[in-house]
Amino acid sequence: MTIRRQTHAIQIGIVTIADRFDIAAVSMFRQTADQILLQTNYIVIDMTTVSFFDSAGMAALVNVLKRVREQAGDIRVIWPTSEAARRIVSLTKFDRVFTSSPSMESALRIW
Amino acid sequence: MVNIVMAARIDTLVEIATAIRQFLHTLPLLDDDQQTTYAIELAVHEVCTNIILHAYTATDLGSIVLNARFHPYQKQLEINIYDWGTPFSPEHRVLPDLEDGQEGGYGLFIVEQLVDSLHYRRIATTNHWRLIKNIGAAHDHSSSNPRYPNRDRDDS
Repeated sequence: MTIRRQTHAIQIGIVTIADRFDIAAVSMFRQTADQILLQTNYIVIDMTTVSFFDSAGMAALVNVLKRVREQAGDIRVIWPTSEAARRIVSLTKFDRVFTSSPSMESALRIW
Repeated sequence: MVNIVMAARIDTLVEIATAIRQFLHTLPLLDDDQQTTYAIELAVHEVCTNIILHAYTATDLGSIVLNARFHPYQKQLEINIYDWGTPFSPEHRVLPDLEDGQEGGYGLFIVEQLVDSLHYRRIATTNHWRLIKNIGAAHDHSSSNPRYPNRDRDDS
C-alpha cells in the first residue's frame, strides 16, 4: 500500500471596512479588492463596524462577488452588527446572495 | 424645518446627512428611534446620489436644494429635493435582481422600501423629488410599494 499525504494551503484575502461604506468609499474599496484579486480568489469582507451602507457599496460588493465567481473562487461576508445597516442587507436580500459568516473565525474555518 | 443648498458633489453627501440627522434629533418622536433615523438619512442620501450621478454630469456640476419639515398633526415628515439637471426617465430605470445580485439599480429601490411615499415630477427645468415618511407608524414597505415611484410631468 502506498499512502501519499498532501497539504494545500489557500491564501485568503481579508478586506475590513469600517464606518461608512458608501459612494465616497467605493473607489478605495475597489482598489483594495483589485490588489487582493491579483493574489487570491478567496476573500473575506469584514463589515462588522460598518454603520452606513448604501447602494453604491452594494454594487461594489456584487462586482467583487462576480469577479471571484468567474475565477472559481469564493467569498464570505461578515455583515454589520448595526441593526439599521443589517436591515438594508435583508431588504435587498443580500443575505441570500452572499454567503455570510458571523465572525472572522468562522469565516476562515470554512476553508 | 430645515433648508439646505448644496453643491451636487459626492463629498457634500456627508454634510447633507449630518444636517438631516440634526434636524431629526429635534423631533421628539425620533429621539431614540435609530432605525427610522437611519432609514430617512439613507433615503435622502440615495436620492441625492442619484441626482449627482445621473441628473448632473462631471462637467455640469449643479446644486441640490433640500427642505424638510415635520407635520405634527399627521405625524408626517415631508422632504422635498430639487435639482436642475437632466430629467429622470423611469423607462430607463434598471430594477435590481434580488435573487442573483447586480451592479446597480438598488438606489431608488431602497428609497421605496424606506419611505411611505416617493414622488417625482418635472416642472419646467426643475426636478422635484418628494419623500413622505410617517413617523410613529414605521413599517416595512417591501410588499406594498409600487415598483416605480409615482411620476407626474408638468412641462407648463
